[in-house]
Formats: sequence, structure tokens, C-alpha cells
Amino acid sequence: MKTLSTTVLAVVALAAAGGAALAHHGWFWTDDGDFVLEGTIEEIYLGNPHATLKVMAEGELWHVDLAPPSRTAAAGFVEGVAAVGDEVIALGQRSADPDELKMKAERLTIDGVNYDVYPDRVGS
Amino acid sequence: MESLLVAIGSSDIAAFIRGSRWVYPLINATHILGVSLAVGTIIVLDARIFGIGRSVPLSTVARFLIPFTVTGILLAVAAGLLLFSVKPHDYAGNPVFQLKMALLVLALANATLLRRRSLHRAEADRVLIIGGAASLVLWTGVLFCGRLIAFVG
Repeated sequence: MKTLSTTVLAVVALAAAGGAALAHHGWFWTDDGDFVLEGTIEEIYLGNPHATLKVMAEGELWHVDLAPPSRTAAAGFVEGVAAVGDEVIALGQRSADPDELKMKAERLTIDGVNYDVYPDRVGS
Repeated sequence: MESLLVAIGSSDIAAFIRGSRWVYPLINATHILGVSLAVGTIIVLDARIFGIGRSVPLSTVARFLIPFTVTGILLAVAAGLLLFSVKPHDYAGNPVFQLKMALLVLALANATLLRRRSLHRAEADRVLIIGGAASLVLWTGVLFCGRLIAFVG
């Protein structure tokens, strides 16, 4: 019994410690309202476990989570459609932590073309 | 350390897994299979150490279960290294991953001691019971940290 309570305690402590930086999986870590980020692409990553962008906006470097690679590719966002230096508009939700420059995008707009990486969420 | 991370990240196999549609989730599933086999059999052996199932001698339970545990650990480590290779810098710099590795080293050292002691005893002594308790806490911690990596960073 003592072991069990120690384990539970350790798990709760870890969860609390990790809480501040929770990210990536799901949408629970984001703010509910729509968020728009406009900036310049600094880095593109299209691989597993999910695609990401680094975007410079008003002097701040943002981390933008996209979908897993197959889903991102299905949205048309594949190698060659965007390059470092391109202007991008990312629509989605930002981290609920105001100090964390991180968002999860539902739609990217580059050069007038929309890439809906979470089409079922865009506009909902 | 830095050059090792660069070498892992720029390897052909890492590039292949990074861009794969099915291989990455397959490796992911293999990692889970290894973890479940290892941690599952460890929890059963710990339970026997605590006195559950006394009709079977501890050494018999240990002799039967430990090969499954070792197989599970080998699977988990092999698949884990492949998953790590996709983004070595991100994982190496992730505090939860670092905690997981520290707990894993302790858990493996403890498991080695438990193995040696339980293979030669029909019933657990005080040392084994303390080791079994540590085993439960450490392996649960490793598993929890592993799952948390995807949510932190």
C-alpha cells in the first residue's frame, strides 16, 4: 500500500512539473480562441512525429505545430510548396501559456494558397 | 555528445524513418510492445516478491518470467533508439526524456540485483521486498515519463 501511494505521489508530482510546458499532442494545451500568426518562415520540418514550422513574427521566433506528416501532405503542404524566407499566415490556436511562443495551426496560407492541415477544425 | 547526436540525426535510417508513413507508427507500436512485455512481467514478478501466489516458488516464477522481461527490454531499447534518431536534439534536450533515462538506469541496475537474488530463493527476503518496491516505483516512473515526452517540449 505504501508503495502504491509513493507511486501515485511520484506520478502526480511529475504531472505537475510537466504541466507548465505541456504541448504537442491534442489541443488541450492551447487557448480556445482563434489565433493568427503572420511572419516569415525560418525553418520547415515535414517529418515524423509531426510537421513543424519556425516562424519569425515581429522579432519573435514562434514554434508552429502542424499535423502528422501524412495528414500535412494530404493538405497539399509537401516539399517544395514553401521555402525558408516565405511569408506565411498561420491560423489556429496558440499555447494557453502567454509566455510560450507556440501554436498549433489548422490552416497555413502561403502566397494566397490555403493548406488546411486540420480541415475539420478550420472555421469551427 | 553533440557530434554523436548529429551523426544519429543525419544517418540514412533516421532520414528514412522521418519521412515514412507506416514505418514510424510501426516502430512506435514495437516500442509499446517491448515496454508492455517488460513492465508487465516485472509487475508480476514484483507481486510474487510481495507474496502473491506463494504456491509457486519465487525462483520458479523468476526463471519463467525473466526471459520475457529481457526480450521486452531489448525490443523497447531497439525501437526506442530508432524513434530517438528522428529528432535526437529535441529528445536529448527534453527534461522529461532526461528524467526517463535517469530512472531507466536506476531501474535496470535494480532489476539486475533483483534477478540475481530471486533466481536462488523460494521466498523473498527483506532485501528483495525493498527492491521490489523500488522496482514498481522506478518502472512506473519510466513508463509515465515515456508517455509524457509527446506532451512536453
